[in-house]
Amino acid sequence: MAELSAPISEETTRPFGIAAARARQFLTPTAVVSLILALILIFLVANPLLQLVKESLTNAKTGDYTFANYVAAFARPRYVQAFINSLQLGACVAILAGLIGVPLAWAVSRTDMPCRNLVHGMVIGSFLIPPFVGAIGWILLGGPNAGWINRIYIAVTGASAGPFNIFTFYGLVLVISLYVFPLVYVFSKSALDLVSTEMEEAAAILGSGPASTTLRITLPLILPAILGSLFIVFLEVLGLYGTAALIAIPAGFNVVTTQLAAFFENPVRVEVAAAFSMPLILITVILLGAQRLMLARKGYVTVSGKGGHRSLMQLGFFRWVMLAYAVLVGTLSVGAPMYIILQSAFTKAWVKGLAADNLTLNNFYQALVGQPSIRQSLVNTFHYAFWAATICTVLGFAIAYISRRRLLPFASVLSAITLAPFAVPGIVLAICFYAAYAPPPFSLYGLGALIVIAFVTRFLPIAFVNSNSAIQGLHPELEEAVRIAGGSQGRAVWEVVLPVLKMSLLGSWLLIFVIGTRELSTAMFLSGPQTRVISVLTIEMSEQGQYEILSAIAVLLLVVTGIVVAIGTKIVGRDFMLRRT
Amino acid sequence: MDKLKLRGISKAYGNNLVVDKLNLTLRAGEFVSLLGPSGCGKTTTLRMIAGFVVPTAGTIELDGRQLSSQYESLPPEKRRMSMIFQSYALWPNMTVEQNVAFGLKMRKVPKDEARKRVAEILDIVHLTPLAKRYPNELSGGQQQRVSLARALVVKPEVMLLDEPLSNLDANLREEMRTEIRKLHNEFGITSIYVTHDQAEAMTTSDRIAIMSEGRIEQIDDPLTLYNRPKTRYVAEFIGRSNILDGKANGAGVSFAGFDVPAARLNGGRIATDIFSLRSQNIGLHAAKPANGESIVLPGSILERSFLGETWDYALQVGNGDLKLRVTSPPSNVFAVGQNVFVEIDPNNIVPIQDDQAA
Repeated sequence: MAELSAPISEETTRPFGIAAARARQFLTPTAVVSLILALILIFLVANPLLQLVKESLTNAKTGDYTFANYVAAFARPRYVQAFINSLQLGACVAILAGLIGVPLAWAVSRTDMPCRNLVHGMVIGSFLIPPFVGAIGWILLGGPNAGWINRIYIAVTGASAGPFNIFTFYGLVLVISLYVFPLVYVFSKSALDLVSTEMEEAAAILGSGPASTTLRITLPLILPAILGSLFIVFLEVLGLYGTAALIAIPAGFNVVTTQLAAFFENPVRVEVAAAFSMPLILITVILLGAQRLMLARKGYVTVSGKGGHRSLMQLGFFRWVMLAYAVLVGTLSVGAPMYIILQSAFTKAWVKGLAADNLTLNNFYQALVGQPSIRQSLVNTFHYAFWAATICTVLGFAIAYISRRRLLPFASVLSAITLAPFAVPGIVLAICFYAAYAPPPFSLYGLGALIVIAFVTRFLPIAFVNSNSAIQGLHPELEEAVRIAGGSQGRAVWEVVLPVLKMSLLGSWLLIFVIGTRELSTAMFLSGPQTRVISVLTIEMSEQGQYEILSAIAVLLLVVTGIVVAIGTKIVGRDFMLRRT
Repeated sequence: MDKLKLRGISKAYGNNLVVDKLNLTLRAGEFVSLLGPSGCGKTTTLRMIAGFVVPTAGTIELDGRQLSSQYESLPPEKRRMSMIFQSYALWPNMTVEQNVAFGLKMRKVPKDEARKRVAEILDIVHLTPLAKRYPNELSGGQQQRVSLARALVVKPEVMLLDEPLSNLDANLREEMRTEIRKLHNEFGITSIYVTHDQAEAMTTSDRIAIMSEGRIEQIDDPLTLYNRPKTRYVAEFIGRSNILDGKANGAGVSFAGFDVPAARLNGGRIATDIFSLRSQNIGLHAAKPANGESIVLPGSILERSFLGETWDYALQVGNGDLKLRVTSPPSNVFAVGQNVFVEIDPNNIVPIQDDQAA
């Protein structure tokens, strides 16, 4: 009982009591940790975003405030056209991804289509393929002359030229759609999984047939989820750099991201790039807000509580039609491009195919040993992804814990700042970090640390959201039981919260590691000669036409991804990769 | 000896006053229940005693030392109390044994002694065979026992129980509440039990504090509380009561249809004009009973419902100015509209206050 404090006599010691109590209140370990977190967040999020705004309003030579950068960014029709192209691209991809994703989600979730698990696996597979790898595959498949589709067409029909050209606007729409449709699928499927079968049965008992029930009951119920996912796809396309660089530039048109990249070519005009990216942030904020509003309409999707029985819709012959559709999508997004990449990786010249004298392992030798720059970038990629994932997971957990448990009065501000990078496309984030930390006093340009902190900022919302929902599922009484048993708050975190959540946190780490190994747009402007990562290297090598070594690198990347995902699935559970949003 | 003392304790969230200048004193070894509907402030009071909530006014003292005031609040881990949570809050990453041993580890009890005490307490709650299991491998009742063992093993200064039985089914609940009382008799730990269930409070407690809107309406032993409610709120909350309006005059009190001389009323000093009469304390007869000490009045049945263990009758007395609810045993059958005689012992008419006790 010695540690119990003596009673304070109110009359005599109150003023001193208040001061002492205040001081104690502010110097608790929790407060110190929180203060440090706040400083980290200012460094990672607030300052870079402010620097972007400041940069866009600054004359690069004189340092005066000016609107000239905005004039420079939007006065030329070419630049404005890039914006229009991006918006059109986003709209077209959203429509195509919807046409692919929604029917597949419905077929897997609600019907008796055969091989549903396989189809689900296929969709996850296309989710795991980095978009730029898919794009390389499609360049090999759909190039105007040498592409395999055209060569097969010519061989079969005897025509002089093939009809297919991936280097067009609609070619770009197709390639992007094939790798973003899983977003639509995931949102739609999780909404469909929550729709109670009883609602469909209620319609059926009142005389509605299967088709009418699906169109009048089921789809309207998940409409907010579908629209929300289409918004996300639209934003994803707006900020996408890799596929656009690989296909749009050869095709001879610009989109916002390639235009931003152009501002970074000599002479580097960061201030114009900053001004040019402002509307991008604005559109993102508006669409994310709209998506929030739609999904916030509670009660729209009804959870059937205790699960109950779920009866699948009998499709009859039509189930084979659905399966054929799924197989077609799988072939286009995974089967064909991955086959071509695998084939190219083992050949001397990709156009010659699998002839015996064309086979070689030299591409892998070159990637791993022969060309130090490639090996260096492989090492960099995994190195940066490792640190980004680790820092993100720790920070995300700490912030989520503090805000969930309301350990601080301004905890909600912390979480809002943490989520802010959601609304900033990766390529814009790269500009922010370039503006904030490339010049003195930080002078981080060319250091791996700059890429790591940019990745941390980019993926922090994912780590935060994951931790947050994990902590949400943890009853606060578990920690209170530690306190009353004589353990401190820190002890409760160490002995109970972390052990209980370790699988969730590991899942979050693996997820960030995997997406960190493929992140392109954030790394783009921050990579120096010594700090190149695979994704950046891919773009450069594609410009040089080195598709065989490129394919070998892609295979290596996919193998590592596959292993990490397999480990994750084994110990964390199926679909842990889907916990992005 | 006074163990725990709450002096004028208040808690407000913004303008919302949850606990309002509450006073409560527990003697060492006493078992007190805080009983009231949800939102009456009982859980907040408990959490202030535990140290999870800092009061906005007033003080909490343990053995004469101050634990909480609005300026200073000793953190929960330094109060040497223990608590049984509604969710049991067993740590899923620890075995039964590790859960129980945790508090001893925090109190730096030597390992050998800790092992001995854990084994003893597990034996007492019949959990020895399950010592190596994890909580998710136990039934609800077993989890509850682990939670009890974990709270008792540290020999806490005060044990706090926050609706510990609300997640159990009815049979198990009855079993556990006798178990809790038995353990209390054995260990004699000063305990505070928060519940909204009358039966739980009645069976376990030495005294019950009836709470409403952040204040204690009445604190008494269960029998007194039942027989002598002090306020209208308590009379209606515990058991079933008829609230009668009466007019005090020099000689006694006149109710609608009958008068009672002052000498016959319980309590003597009549400062109010409302009274409580338990529905169980009213006799019903088909024929007029012998007029002994009791008041006998004619009436007729308005409604009836059979609840299995009792009849619930609504009836009007005399010319209809007085309506009463009466609880009768199952053998006492009357039809709706039947004329009956009502027998009231004036000693069961208890004067109560209409407003909350300040």
